[in-house]
Amino acid sequence: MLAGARDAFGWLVVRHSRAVRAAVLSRLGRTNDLDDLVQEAFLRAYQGLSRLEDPGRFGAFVHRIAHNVSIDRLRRSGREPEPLAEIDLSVAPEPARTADVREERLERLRLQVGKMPATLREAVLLFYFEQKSSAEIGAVLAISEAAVQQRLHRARQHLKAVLGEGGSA
Amino acid sequence: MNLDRDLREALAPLAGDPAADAARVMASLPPLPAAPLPDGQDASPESPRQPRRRQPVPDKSSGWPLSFVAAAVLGGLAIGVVAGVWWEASHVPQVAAPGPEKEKDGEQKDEPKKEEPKPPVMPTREQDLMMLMAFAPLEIDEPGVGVQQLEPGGFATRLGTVVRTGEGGAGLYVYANDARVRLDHQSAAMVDLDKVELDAGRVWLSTLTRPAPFEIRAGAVRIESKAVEVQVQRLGAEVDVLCLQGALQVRSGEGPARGVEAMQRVSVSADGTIAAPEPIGFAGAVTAWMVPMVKQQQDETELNHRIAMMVEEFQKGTYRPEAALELRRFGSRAVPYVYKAMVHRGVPDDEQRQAAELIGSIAEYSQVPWLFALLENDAPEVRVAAFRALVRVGAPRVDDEAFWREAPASERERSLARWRALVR
Repeated sequence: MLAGARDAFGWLVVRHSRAVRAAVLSRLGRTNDLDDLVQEAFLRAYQGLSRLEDPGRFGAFVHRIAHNVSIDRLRRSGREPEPLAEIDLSVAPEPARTADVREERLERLRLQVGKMPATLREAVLLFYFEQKSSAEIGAVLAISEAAVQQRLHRARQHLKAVLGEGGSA
Repeated sequence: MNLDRDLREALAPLAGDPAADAARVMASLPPLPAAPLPDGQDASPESPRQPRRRQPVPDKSSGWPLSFVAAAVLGGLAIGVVAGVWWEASHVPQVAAPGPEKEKDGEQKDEPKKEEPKPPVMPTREQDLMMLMAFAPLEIDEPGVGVQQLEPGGFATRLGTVVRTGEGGAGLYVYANDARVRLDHQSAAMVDLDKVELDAGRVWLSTLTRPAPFEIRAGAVRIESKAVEVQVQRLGAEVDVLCLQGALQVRSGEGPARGVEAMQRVSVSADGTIAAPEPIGFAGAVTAWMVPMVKQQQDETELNHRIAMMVEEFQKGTYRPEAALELRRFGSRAVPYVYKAMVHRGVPDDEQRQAAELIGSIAEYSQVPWLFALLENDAPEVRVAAFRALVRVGAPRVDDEAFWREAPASERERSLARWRALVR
C-alpha cells in the first residue's frame, strides 16, 4: 500500500504543481526559493494527508497550505503579509528580445499583475497561468464561481486601465 | 490587443517544471524499503589493476520517469476534461485545511504541526478509486461519468471503469486491495475491485501484495485465484491463460475447473475445452509487452527483479538470445547486472564476449567506466566489443579495433589511461 500511496501522491504533485506554484507566486512573486517553497507545501500536505477527509478536496487543501507556506516565508524574512503588497513577476528577457515591442508589452503585463491586490492576482494566476476553470478556482479559493468571475473581470479592467487600453479600474 | 492571450503568454515563463517538482517532493518523502542492486551492483566495476572512481549513480534519484511525467503534465493536468476530475470538482472546501505558524487577521490556522513524516492514510473515498496510468491516448467508460478520451498521464477513476487502449498500454492500481492490472495495447477490459472482464486483447493482474479472491472473465472463461500473477489473452474465440506466480483455477462455462500452477499455461478453445497445462519455458518473452510500464513506475523493485531474472536466464544459457533481447528492452539499466554476473575470470571467454556485446549494445555514454573496465579484460573479443561500444556511445576514439584486440597489455594500459583522461 505504501508504494501505491507514494505513487498516488506523486501524481498529485504533478497534477497540482502549477496551482501550488501560482499560490506562492501570487504572494511572493519570483523568489529564489520558489522551488523550495513548492516542495515544502507538498511535504506539509503529505504529512497532513490523514486530516484530509475528502480526497476530492486535495487541490484546495494543498493550495491553502501553499498560501500558509508563503505567509510563513514572509514572516521568516521579517515581512508581514499585506493584501496590497506588490510583488515582482518580471522575467528578464533574453538580450536579443529586449527591443521586442511584444516582449515589452508582456513584461509590462507581468509587472502590472504583480502590482494587483493579492486577491485579484491569485485569481489571474490561477486562470491564466494555471488555466483552471472558474469552478475549479472557486473550489480552490473557497469562493463562488460568480465571485471568481467578478475578480477576473476586475483584474482585466484594471489591466486595461493601467495599460491604457480603455476600461476602468 | 488580445488581453486574454497576452496574459497567458506573459505568465507562461513563470511556470516551473511539474516533473522536477514531483521528483524533488518524492525524493524527500519517507523512503520505501530500498531495492538496491544485489551485491553492490550499482557500483563501478572494480579494476583488478588500479583503483577506479565510482560509477555515477544513474540519473534516477527519485525513480520518477520524467518523460512520462512530462507527458502526464501535458495530458494529466487537463483536469477539467479527464477522468480524475469528478472527485475534485466539488466547490467550497469543507476540509480542515492546514494553516500558518501563527494566526493573524483571520488567516487559516489549521495546518498540521510539523512532525515526523508518516505514511499517508488513504482517505476513505479513495477506496472507491483506481489510479489509471495511460501510456498512450485511450478511452474509458467510467460509471456515473461516461465515455472519456484520455491523453497519456495519470488519472483517478472509479472502480468498474472500462478501459479501451489504443496504440499503447495502460496500468491500473486499485487502492482498496493493492491489485495491479496492466492492459496491453488494443485491449479492452472492465476493472473492478475483485474482478476484471476482458473483452479484447491482453491483461496482466497481480494480487500478490494483498491476496484476496479475484476473478478474471474472458467470455465464458473464468479464472479464479487468491494470490496470483497471471496474464490472460483473448485470441479470437480462444483464451490463453499464463500463471506466472501463485496458482489459479480455470473454468469454462459450467464445466469443471482445472488447476494451473506457477509457470504453466493453458489454452481454452472456442468450444470451451481446457487444454492440459504446459510449462512456460521463458517468462520474459511473454511478459515483454509490459516492460515500458515497468520501467516507468516509481517503485523500482519490480524493475530490478525483472532485470535480475533475465540476467539469470542469460547466465544459464538455455534462453540466452531471448534473455539478451529482453535485457535490451530494459536498456542501460541492465549494464551493471550483466557486468557483475558475466564479466569475471570464472566465466568462459566466449560467454564473457557475449555479455560484453550485450553491454555494448545497451550502454550509454554515462557508463563509459563499465566499458573501460571491459577494455582491461584478458579476452581480446571482449575488448573489441568494448571498443565498438565506446565508439558507439560517442567517446573520443583512442587507437583502433586491431590495437585493442592485439596490442600487448602494457601498451593497452597506457592507451587506456590516456582514454580515461580524455573523457574525464
